[in-house]
Amino acid sequence: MIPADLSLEAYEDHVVALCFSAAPAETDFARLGAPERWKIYRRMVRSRISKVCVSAMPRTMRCLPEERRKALFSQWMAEDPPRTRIFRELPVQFGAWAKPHLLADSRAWLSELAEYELLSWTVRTVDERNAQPSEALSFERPVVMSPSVRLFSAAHAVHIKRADEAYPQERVFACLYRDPDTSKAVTMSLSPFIYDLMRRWHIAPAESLTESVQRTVTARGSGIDTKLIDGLSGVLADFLQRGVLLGSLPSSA
Amino acid sequence: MKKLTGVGLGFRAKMADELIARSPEGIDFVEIHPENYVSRGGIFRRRLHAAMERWPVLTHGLTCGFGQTEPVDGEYLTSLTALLQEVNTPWHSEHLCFGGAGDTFVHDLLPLPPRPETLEVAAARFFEMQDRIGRPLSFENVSYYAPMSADPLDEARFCQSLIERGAKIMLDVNNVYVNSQNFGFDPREWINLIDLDAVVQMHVAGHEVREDGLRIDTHGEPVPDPVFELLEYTLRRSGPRAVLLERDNNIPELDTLLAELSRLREVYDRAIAQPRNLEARP
Repeated sequence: MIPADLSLEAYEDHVVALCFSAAPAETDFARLGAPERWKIYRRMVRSRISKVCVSAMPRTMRCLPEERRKALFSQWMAEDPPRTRIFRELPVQFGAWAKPHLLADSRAWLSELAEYELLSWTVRTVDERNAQPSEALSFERPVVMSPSVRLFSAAHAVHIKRADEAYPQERVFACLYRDPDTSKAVTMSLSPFIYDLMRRWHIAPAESLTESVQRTVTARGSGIDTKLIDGLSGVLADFLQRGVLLGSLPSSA
Repeated sequence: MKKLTGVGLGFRAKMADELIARSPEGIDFVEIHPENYVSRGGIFRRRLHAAMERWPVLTHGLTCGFGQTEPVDGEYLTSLTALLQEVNTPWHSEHLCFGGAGDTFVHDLLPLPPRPETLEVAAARFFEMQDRIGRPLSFENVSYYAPMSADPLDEARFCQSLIERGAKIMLDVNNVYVNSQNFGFDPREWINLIDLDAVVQMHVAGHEVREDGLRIDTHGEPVPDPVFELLEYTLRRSGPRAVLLERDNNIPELDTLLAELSRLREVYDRAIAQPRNLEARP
């Protein structure tokens, strides 16, 4: 039974600690009576939270031995327990916490794989109602991207599934976006120039398309020529068709 | 607006597309968990809108337990209110439980000790939330596995105390049954302690029976006969209500689920066809 002298707030704090502490003492369980029943709660809570993280990062999780995976989840819950009420956001919180641990792994691609899988997970559920208003694409106006677009760069080709889970060293520039028809996350490989240009759209959203192209070209130490213009036109048309780009910000915005 | 009654189905991602495509008869409403739709786009929102075109949509929250001691999360309530308005739910329900402490969420429905202090917290939170969402709110009685009181019927008295403060109840019949088996009381006695005029909706579901006999409210099994019997007993006393079949795990083929819904409909029709049992509560 719950001790009468335990306030409601203290009781709730105690139960949450039972769920997330790395190794609660037997006396901690016994304090509320029926210790075995509280252990059931602890197992259910931890299992549910771990499972959603595994669902979001299946390839990353397959690369971790079960004991290491369990230890990571346990450490995460003890150090930085879930802070979001939205269940689907738990893997992102776990991923942020786990990043230094994955970076320390001898497999240099592991943290990149985790980042890639979490971007794919996030892209699928982004709320498109957050999109800015847009009109036909104009070089004189800032571009409007789909809210689902995320940029990804890595030193290994983790975006290509491999049965042996050994990802080769290869410079990767890509964007992920949600296909408007299927709602699936799509990965699109980019040239370094287009990647830099899209980064520019993210960090300087008020720049016109012309300005962003000029600044990207300058930053890369290259020049604007016919080949670049033709290539860019093709990419922009493709982006519009895929729904990566929605158009340009209206002049009234 | 006509009061929503009849039988409905939990609208879950795994069967949503088929349910929408087939739009079978015999579903009076569907129910969603708002946390799965708040600030979420893509196929989830498209499915939600397709459901709204076909059925009334009820909302049943998972993370605003009335026993939580922290102030309500205003930012979330703003998003929630917008969603409730979007789906135009006639009422919203949350659980009489707590789901975390401070800024930590356990993503489970944890039980509350039925005490005066808890009642004050729950009542204050209930009415504050009802005011903020601007539409009728109800609380669900939860299943629990660790004893909360020497007399397990104290839970029913606790729920009734909240009802007497003016709250409505979303009565989970399966939870009453699960608790009755885990803690050894007559579930009809539990029901008899509740003012059934305060019931706006009911849930039925299946549960897991572990090897040690403990029943866990998994929503992953078919509804067992005793739960249907308890539902019929309750409906005879309450009169027509909205009754939802909950299936969240181990979701079978849609035809299997619809067959179970048909059984629910039979129980429902039989119960409400009889004169309402107006025996006074003790």
